[in-house]
Amino acid sequence: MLDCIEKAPVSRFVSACILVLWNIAMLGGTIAEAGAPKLQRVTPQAAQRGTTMEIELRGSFLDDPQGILFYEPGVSVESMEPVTEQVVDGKPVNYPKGTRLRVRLNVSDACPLGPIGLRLQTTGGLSEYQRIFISPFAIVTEGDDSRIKNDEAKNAQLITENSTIVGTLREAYDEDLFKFPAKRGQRISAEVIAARLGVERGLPDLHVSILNAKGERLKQADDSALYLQDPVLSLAAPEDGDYFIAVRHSLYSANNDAYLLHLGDFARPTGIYPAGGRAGATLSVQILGDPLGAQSQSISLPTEVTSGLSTHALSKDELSRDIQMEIRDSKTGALAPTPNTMRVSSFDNVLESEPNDTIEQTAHITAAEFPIAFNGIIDKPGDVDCFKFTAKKGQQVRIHALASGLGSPVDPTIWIKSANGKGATTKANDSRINQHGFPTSNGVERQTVDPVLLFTAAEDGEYVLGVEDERGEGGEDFVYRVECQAEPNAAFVYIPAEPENRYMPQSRQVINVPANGRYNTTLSVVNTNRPYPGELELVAVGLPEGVEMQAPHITPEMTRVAVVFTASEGASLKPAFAEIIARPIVTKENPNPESLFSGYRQQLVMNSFGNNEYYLQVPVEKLGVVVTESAPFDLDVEEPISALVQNGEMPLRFKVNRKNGFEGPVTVMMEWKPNGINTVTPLSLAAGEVEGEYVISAARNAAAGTYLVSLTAVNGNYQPQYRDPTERMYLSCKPFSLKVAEPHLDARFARASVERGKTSELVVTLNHLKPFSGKAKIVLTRLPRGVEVLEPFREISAADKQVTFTLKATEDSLVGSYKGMTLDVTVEEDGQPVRQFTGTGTLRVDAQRAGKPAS
Amino acid sequence: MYHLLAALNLKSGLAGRVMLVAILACVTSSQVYADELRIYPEEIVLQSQGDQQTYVAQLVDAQGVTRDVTSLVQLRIAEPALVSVGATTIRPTQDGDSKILFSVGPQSIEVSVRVSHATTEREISFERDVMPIFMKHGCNNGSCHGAARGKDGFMLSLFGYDPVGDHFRLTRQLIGRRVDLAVPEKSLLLLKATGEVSHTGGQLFEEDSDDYRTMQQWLVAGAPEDAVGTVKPVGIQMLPPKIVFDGKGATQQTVVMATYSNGTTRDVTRLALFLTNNDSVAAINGNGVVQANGRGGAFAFARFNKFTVGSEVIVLPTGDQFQWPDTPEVNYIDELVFDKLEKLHLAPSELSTDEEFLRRVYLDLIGMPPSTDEYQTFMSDSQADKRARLIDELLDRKEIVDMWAMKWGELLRIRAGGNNPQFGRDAKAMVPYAGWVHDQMALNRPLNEIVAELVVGSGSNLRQPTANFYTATDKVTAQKMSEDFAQVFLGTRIQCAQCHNHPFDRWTMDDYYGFASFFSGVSMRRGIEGREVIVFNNNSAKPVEHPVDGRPMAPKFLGGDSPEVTGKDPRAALAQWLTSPENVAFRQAMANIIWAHFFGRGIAEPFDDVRISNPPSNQELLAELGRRFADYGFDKKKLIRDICNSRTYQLSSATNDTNDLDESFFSHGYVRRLRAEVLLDSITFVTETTDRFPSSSTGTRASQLYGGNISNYFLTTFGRAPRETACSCEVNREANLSQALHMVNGDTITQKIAASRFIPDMIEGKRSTSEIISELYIRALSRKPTAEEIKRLTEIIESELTNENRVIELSGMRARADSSYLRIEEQLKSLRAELDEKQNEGQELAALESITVQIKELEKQRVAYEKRYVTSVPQLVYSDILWGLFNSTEFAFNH
Repeated sequence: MLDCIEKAPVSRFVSACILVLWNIAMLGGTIAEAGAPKLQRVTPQAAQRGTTMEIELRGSFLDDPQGILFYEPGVSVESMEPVTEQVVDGKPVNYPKGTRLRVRLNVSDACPLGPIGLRLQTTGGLSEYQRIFISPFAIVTEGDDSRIKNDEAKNAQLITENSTIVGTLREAYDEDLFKFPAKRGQRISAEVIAARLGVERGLPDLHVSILNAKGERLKQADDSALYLQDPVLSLAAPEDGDYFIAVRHSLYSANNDAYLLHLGDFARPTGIYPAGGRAGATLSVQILGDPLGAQSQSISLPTEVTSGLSTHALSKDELSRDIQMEIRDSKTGALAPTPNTMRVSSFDNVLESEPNDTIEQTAHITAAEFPIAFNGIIDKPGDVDCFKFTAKKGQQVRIHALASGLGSPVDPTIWIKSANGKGATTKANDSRINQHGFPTSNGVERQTVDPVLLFTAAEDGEYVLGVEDERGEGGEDFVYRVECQAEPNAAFVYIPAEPENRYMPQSRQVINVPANGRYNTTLSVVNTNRPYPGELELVAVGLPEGVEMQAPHITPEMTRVAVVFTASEGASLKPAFAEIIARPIVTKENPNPESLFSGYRQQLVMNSFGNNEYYLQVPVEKLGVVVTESAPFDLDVEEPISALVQNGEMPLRFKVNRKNGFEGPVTVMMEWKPNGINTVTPLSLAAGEVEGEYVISAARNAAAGTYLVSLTAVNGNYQPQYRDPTERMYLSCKPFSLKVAEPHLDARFARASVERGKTSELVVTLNHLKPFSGKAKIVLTRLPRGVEVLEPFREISAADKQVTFTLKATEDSLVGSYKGMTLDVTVEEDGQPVRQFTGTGTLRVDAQRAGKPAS
Repeated sequence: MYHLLAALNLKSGLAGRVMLVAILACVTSSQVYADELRIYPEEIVLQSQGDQQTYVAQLVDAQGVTRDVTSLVQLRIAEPALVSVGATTIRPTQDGDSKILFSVGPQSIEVSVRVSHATTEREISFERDVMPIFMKHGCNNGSCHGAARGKDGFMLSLFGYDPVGDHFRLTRQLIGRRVDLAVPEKSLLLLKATGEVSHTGGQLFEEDSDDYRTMQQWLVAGAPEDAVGTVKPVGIQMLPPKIVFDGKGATQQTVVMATYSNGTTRDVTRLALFLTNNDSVAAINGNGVVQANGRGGAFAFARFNKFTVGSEVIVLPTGDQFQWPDTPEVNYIDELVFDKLEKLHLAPSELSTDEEFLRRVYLDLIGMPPSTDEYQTFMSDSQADKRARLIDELLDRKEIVDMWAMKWGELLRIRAGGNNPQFGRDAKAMVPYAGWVHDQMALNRPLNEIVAELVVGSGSNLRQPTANFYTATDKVTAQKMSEDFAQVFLGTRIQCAQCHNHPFDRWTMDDYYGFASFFSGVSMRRGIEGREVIVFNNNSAKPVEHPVDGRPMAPKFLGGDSPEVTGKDPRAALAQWLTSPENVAFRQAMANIIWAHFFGRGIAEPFDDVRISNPPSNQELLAELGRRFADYGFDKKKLIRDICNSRTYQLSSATNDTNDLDESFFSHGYVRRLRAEVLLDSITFVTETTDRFPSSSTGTRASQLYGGNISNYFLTTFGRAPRETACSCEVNREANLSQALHMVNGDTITQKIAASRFIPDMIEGKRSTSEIISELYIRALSRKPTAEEIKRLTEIIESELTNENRVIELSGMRARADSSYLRIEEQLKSLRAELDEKQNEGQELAALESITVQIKELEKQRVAYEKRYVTSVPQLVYSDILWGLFNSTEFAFNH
């Protein structure tokens, strides 16, 4: 391990040291602990397409900004400067260093509407994910300030054309009013974006209503099927006049909640029917949910889909994909401010033809064959839609009814019956999140409301698929789409939640590798169906130049592995999106492994609310990776030569190499552990300390084998908490092998008793499981109070089958039966002590017998 | 006869007419001949050798006063060989039919007697003969062997809900001495009961008692189990059904008759358990002898097997010279209330004054006192129908909607459920739910329609408000839901019958589980987001099983039939049955809730615990209100209009000699503490201030709060319902010390008075002292101050405001309470000290200009403050008067 340090590049370090030392002088003696920036808020979270826009990033450790990594195309940074003072309400305010950045963004005409994810890059790494929303409309700032309240109609802010208002609910009961003059029959539409903006904790759940000039509430919405807590409203003005749009918290409990309000006469479609089609097709669709009536339009579906880093034509085995479709009102030409979700499939559509409420009525429906997508609308409460298909005996199909996932109000239930009415009915109401290729994220997983039914045809013949709303509701925009295709093998890779994510849900979901150092994380695989029947290797695609990932193979019984990223000397400092793919391994035994769809899929969670639940999940398919400035310390672990035996424990000796005058505390922990391996809690080295022992132990059932493991080091005393005040820099030691082996001995204790004040012998029978050379040291340990063993330890050789200890019970010993004694065995192996515990015995301590007082 | 003549003067009404007939019938006879002899039972049937029949003779006078003349009665039997007659019992001797003539003085009555099987002994039955002994002696009480785990190793089913199990436990559960068939007298069953062997329950009966003999005979017979088809009791009767005592100390023997499934009857007086609902009026002993204790009305009850029945007992003052006053009746309510009052010899109070009525009807209908303008308008109205017009006006006010939405919010337990959104009770769901209830009240939708919609509530709690009817239960079990349901909509608590037949009501475990089966399919599952819950009915859910024998209990209406609901949502049938106008329990429960709002107590009280042993104080009134309510199509406004227009509602709360102790027959206006929300809203209204409640919009009043979880210190202190249970007891209207302290010292009133603008406005408007005092009285108490009050208060005000020292003292008090003034004083002090110090050091005054300027500036400010304090002294004094009015009981109570 030590040679690694000796090989460390000197020249770059020297210059870095000088720079750091210079900083120390400037800061008055404290060492700058470089670490990832914490980005807490972006304001405003809106920008108009085709313009430049100034936004402010707020948080901590935002010093030395290097750029912004955007998840979607079309946005670039023009300039970036720290904000240290500003005039607020006419008074100058100073901000601490590293807390605010002013950024000028350029939003191109090609930028997609809707949310754009971003992470700030500083020399310390990548920040949390935050999002801004791209609007087709001009951005207007809400005029409410401490002097003029727009809570009343007389102070309402006038809006005359399609606009995106950036507002804040300053007090719990704040209500913001906007005036919109409209002609009779003109559409008035409002869409609120608040919950979707995403905050770390809390839920900005807003309410919107439209009032007429008399103050009568014409229509109101608290939620929407499209955007859950974010309401949308559309109304045809009943007469010429002023209308007022009021935004408030739905429970009058706002907490300085930021919101965007798209307001104008745009069309806000609540459903598109059909909600998808074959890739590249031109689809004739109905735009639903418009108070002025449905519109027919022609929509071109893309020929290619994007998955992770790749854009490709949809293969016929691949599951259909979501796309975001921008909808333009054919009358006014205005775009809906946020796109609608649609599906692109590799197969065609079948549209429902009413009446189709019962099996009997399906007689006039032509039977379709798989793969196919059935489309329909639950147009009234209690509506049942039936479709007919033919299937061959044994044919397996994944039947996925989409509605909630598309933003439709339907809560679908699907069932399949044989068209002749015989045989059992299979039924599904819901699905599991893994069936959609995502790990569970403890929150609102809308897709799971949509059922997935794995159907196997019992016979050749015709079958009927029924679709209903589980709650018995219905309406004109209750659109659904049932995709029926073969279930492919798919396994997606993600970073599982660690205990600290409970407090900082986004902590460590990017890879910040210290320059010329290592970074480790844990990766898990989520299977959409059954676990992949074979070994998989993890491959990282798109890493910055000079960064490599080292990962062990994944076998079907494994759920997690530890991986280590290494940045070599001269690695590129440019951040990159990477993808991690699980790839079947071609072996001699398995020369033609089953194909597998794979990629990186992470649910970034926001809006932590209630009992550790998250009300906003942002799925991402790209992993941010960046090489940061080098760490002021690194970690060496002495690789254990001997094995960790079951029921045994072992100290891992490590050394923290402090550099550049870094003296602060460092915490060391093992994050990923093989099954059955336990460790002590994270171990903190106090300021200035350089060496320590991290004790790991193996349970009796720990699987024997060799594992590649690593220890993680982080600066500071580690204590997961909300709003961690420390700038953290994580790094890894060089991964090392840990051998878990069978123990050497198995001890059996004979029953024993001892009288107070007397001595007694305890015989332990030894069963040798694994030979050892030389002497083993045996200590009888965990004795009850007041019982002593006269021999401090015993030494045995491989030939000894029994060992005897002399026990003495003092006057203090407690009378009674005691369980818990065990043997602590240390064997010398390859020059290293190997320690194990074995056996357990019962000792009875008796009171002194009458008439025989102790001497 | 004077009281009869007084009755003749009655203008109209049922009571008057009935009385008139009675008078005409007896007016020519002397008092004793006017009395009517009644013998109970009306027929004597003896069916076995050991059978016996207790009889009771009662004389009823023209006024309805009854006298127990059993000991005076003389019997003449047509065929004396048939029966033998004891002191109060008749036993069989020979089969045959005959007649017995009972006579007291000149009064006589003939009763038929029928004897069969006079020489054969009926077999002892476990259920019929032995188990009643357990009940009578309390063996199967909850505190004895009826406890869930029994007592001292022996368990009996609580109140005998499981006869088969009891027989098993007695005879076969333990091998031993519990039952010794070889030597029956040595059975512990007998030895313990007679106290011969140590028994925690003590000695229960003697060896020579009937109960002992019954048990012994059963043991001698081999402790048999009842054969299949053994007759079972189907009902009992307590006789006489009505007792009217004339004065304390009088007694009346009662007889309890059981009817069996084969149509036979049996005297079970000695096996029955007796109780009363009001010991201070009428007590009853273990033999069924009722004794008059004090004036009033009560019920005496007998319990046998699973049945409880009652007899009404009225105790009149001894020889009172009661004269029914000439009281006009406005509507049927008055007829029925006054009829009852007359029977009880309670004279109703006078009609309330206009001021009293005005305040009462405002607070009851809209939950706020009248404004000064409203007061003046009403008081200056001289037309006869002004009260009726005011009632109609108030019924159209929007505040009445808040009042009833709040009431229903309490009954439906609308409260947000803290931090556990998964229970579906998040504020997110509760706000629209409360909004829905409010809308229904605003539309004045028929109550039965609203309830019917709630009963079948399904779907998302966020989107379908009625689904929340089911999220309110703390446990999603059929049992819990049915209990809450019965309590709210049928006014009856069936909880007891979950584990045993209800001891004080008609409900059995069969009734309970049959009713619970309506909810066996109600389930919940998670919706899209964490706060969303989907309520749905699983139509194929199995019915609830009976816990004793595991029988599936098909859904059965409480006290009704079993509908055919296989494969359907049984709640639909339940909703239809419940809300039908023919459902007496529902319409009476709803009418009772409405009545209780206006009188502070229900006709049956509490209104959610109506049972046989807690009967309504005026059954006829409750029945009529229920019937009318159904006839009105469950339009609550119509019923409210009837109630408010009745003279009964408008009676003064001042009592007379006869009705001062009455708390249940509505003979006078009942003084009621204002409920917390009304009290706070009234204070807010009087002071023209606003309240701010969490999670509510600006301007929300306390009675508009959507959920029981939203509260503040004031509301909690004054007993606002937290809406955690379905119990009507949640609204606490008790007065207690912390309320008094909060009114006196708390910040609610002080801050509101301080924030109020109307007193300074009146002072600035140069209104006279008496005008201001009047205004304060009208605002707070809805009445003008008396001349004496004006005089005394004017004296106080003048002595305060004309005394210069007192003004200085008062303004000083204001100054000392003002932190900004104190800060100025502090600054002045330190600046002066600094100035002094520097001058002492020899610095020139000119050099210290900055300090002197500051001092001057602060002095100016101080003087301005002081001037303000002096000018605000009158405000302080008037505010104190308002404070005093708020703290008067007259303000805190509706009277």
